[in-house]
Amino acid sequence: MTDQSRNPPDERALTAAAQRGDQAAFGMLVRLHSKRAYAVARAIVTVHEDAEDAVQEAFVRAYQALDRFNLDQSFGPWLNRIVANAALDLARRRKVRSTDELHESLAGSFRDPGEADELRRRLGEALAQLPERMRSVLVLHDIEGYAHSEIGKTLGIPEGTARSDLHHARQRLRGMLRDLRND
Amino acid sequence: MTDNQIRLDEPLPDEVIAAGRDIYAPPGGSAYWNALESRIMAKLGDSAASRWWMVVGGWARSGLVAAAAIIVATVVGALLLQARNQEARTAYDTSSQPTITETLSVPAGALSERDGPDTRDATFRDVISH
Repeated sequence: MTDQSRNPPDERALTAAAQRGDQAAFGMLVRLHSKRAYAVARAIVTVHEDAEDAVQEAFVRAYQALDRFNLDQSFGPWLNRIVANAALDLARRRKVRSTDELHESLAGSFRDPGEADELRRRLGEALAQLPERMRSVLVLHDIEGYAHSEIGKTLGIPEGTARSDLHHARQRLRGMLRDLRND
Repeated sequence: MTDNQIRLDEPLPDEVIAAGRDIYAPPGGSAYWNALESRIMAKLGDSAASRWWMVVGGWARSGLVAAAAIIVATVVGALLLQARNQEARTAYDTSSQPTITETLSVPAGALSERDGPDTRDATFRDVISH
């Protein structure tokens, strides 16, 4: 997944218009990027409602920082970094959330919370036990399909750290899901 | 899923990835995303309004500071002017009134003939009281 594939040709024009104060243009950018922003936020905060809050906060921050955005850059990665920061801020404020609550939120899907099979439940529990950054890297890479370089930029960590985190996250998951058999 | 399927440095098995995608699936349906977009745009409106109020507030603060500075300058100027006038008046009074020595050295006969006896008495009383 490259930046270009997520960059429609008129995105630069939309960003330029938004920089001039055109809210409708910014609305189009919100429409284009909200799902990706949600995925980034959810990988970090894990809970749907928190991800939603982080996305809203991130778009407000992005709007306020538009005058500092360089039009030669892609809007998506710049926004993702803001989303990640907003989500990390929220995650820090939510540190008091109990582990049980986190298990519960990860084990249940947003789409059909009542239908959690064994694998999903166990995976949810295992993911909840991973350190925040490790979990974020694993979700962004293995589930959302981000490249290591994009994850590094999004989370503000070196690419090598993202690779290392992914390795350790998979290793831990394998350990926790070892007893699962689906045959 | 077997241990053989799950090896280090290999991608997670497809079923685990699928379960993960299920867990992290974004809400479906355009209604949800339209509503989220509306909420974001409403927040932007609030943010823009608060930014506008901050600008106006900044102007108001600057105006208040300028007004306070003008008031202080006016009061200080008036006080200085008053003090200068007072000083000038005192200096004038001092220079226009004869000193005690001068007054005492004035002989009674030197008093103006135009002054009546009442005026002379008053002058003497004044001199003696000093």
